[in-house]
Amino acid sequence: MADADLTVEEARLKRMRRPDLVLPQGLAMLEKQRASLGNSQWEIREQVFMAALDLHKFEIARKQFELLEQRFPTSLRVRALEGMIFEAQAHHSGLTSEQSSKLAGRAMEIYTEIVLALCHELNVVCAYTSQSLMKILSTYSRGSGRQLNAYLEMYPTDAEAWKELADVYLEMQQLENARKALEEVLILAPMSYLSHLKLAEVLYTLEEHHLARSYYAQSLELKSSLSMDNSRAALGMILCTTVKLMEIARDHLVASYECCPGASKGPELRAVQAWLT
Amino acid sequence: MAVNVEVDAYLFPMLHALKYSQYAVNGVLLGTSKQESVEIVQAIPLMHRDLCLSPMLDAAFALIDEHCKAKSLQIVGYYHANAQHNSNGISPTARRIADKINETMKERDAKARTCLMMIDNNEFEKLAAYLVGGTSAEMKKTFGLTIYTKADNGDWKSASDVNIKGFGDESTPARLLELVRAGKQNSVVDFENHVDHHEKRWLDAQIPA
Repeated sequence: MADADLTVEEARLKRMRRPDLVLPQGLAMLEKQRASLGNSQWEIREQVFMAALDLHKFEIARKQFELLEQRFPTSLRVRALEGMIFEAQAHHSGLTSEQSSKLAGRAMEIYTEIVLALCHELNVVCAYTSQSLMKILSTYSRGSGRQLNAYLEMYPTDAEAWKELADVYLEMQQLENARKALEEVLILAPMSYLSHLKLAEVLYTLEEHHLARSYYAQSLELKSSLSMDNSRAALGMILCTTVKLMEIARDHLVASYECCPGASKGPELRAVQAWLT
Repeated sequence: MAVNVEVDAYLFPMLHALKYSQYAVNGVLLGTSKQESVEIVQAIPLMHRDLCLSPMLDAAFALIDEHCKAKSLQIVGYYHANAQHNSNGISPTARRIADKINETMKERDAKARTCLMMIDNNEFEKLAAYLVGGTSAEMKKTFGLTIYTKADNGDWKSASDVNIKGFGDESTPARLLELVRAGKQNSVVDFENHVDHHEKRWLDAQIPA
């Protein structure tokens, strides 16, 4: 992917985390083209805010936050941004653990306010962000699922939140809990090839190869590797299956390499073929 | 026992970690194990998401094994960078994977040795500070990572004799700085990238020009 072609808008739509590009380009847009941006100015400000936090440029972040707060004084989404500033500052190097927890605590207060006010506005941003706060307070804490679980008790049909909870459990290496969360995701979003894939990977890690195989198969059915995009499921399937079924998966994998123009020249295809014959 | 690291085998793990600075990343180290030393000549990036899940790891190792046979290299180690800034010790996942590699390599050859390369964010920050304007004496010894080897009692012990090529004359840190300034870390290809885009070179990737 050519770097120069990545626009601020593309980065937002594809949810790419490229603060090195977004910050300078976004700031330039806000400065020079403000008149022509109209209302998209505000989304760009939020994006620039995030990029600034990533790069620890707190002054820039604060400035964008203040402009957003002026424009949307009652917005919970904007209030969450304030929490994020404290959260990011808590991560900054050179702080004592006391200073760090104090900042993290401040962010947590703000997030808790927002979570409590969730009846009227579904601001899901802060439920996620509070997870990273937990990371600061204690690295491998078991308590980290708490906020999300509480949120999910109120809104059990939020597939995104279940996905997030699964990620939290994976980080704590609580595979059984991650599996349960992913099963919930699949109930809510049964056509998602990525969720089938992820559950298959967790099951494989739990050494339930037989069950993993059926989820890999589902994932492949939903998105076939013959159009090149699901070789991850093909790989998983190969690892799980007996010889007969392996042939199906192997053909998927080799086909995915063969229909890709540059791939046939590389050592990876040779390694795949050597491995599978 | 000395651990000697080639320039690219140092640059790749650092660039991989920088590309995904918000995630944990890992990879495999290839080289040769000698009587008095381990020579690490190549680093192959593996993953940046869900490092505790096994299937992609198993698939990558199967392919790397075939590649090693073709190139007469061995797997001599594993590198890992934790996600959090303050977490610089050996994480449970890193330990588990490194132990598994050590076990597998020892099954094939009782004399095989495995190194565990943990990227250290605090040290890395010091190196960055020196690069931008510090004393060069300090910089020669600040790699931004710690290499561990297996002691007889099974513990991972920090290796005392680590030599990374190009630190003595400061050429390697300068090169790292140059690459980062040009944003080259974004061109590093790990196994996950390769699986999503087969045309991206992975097993024989070069440092992005």
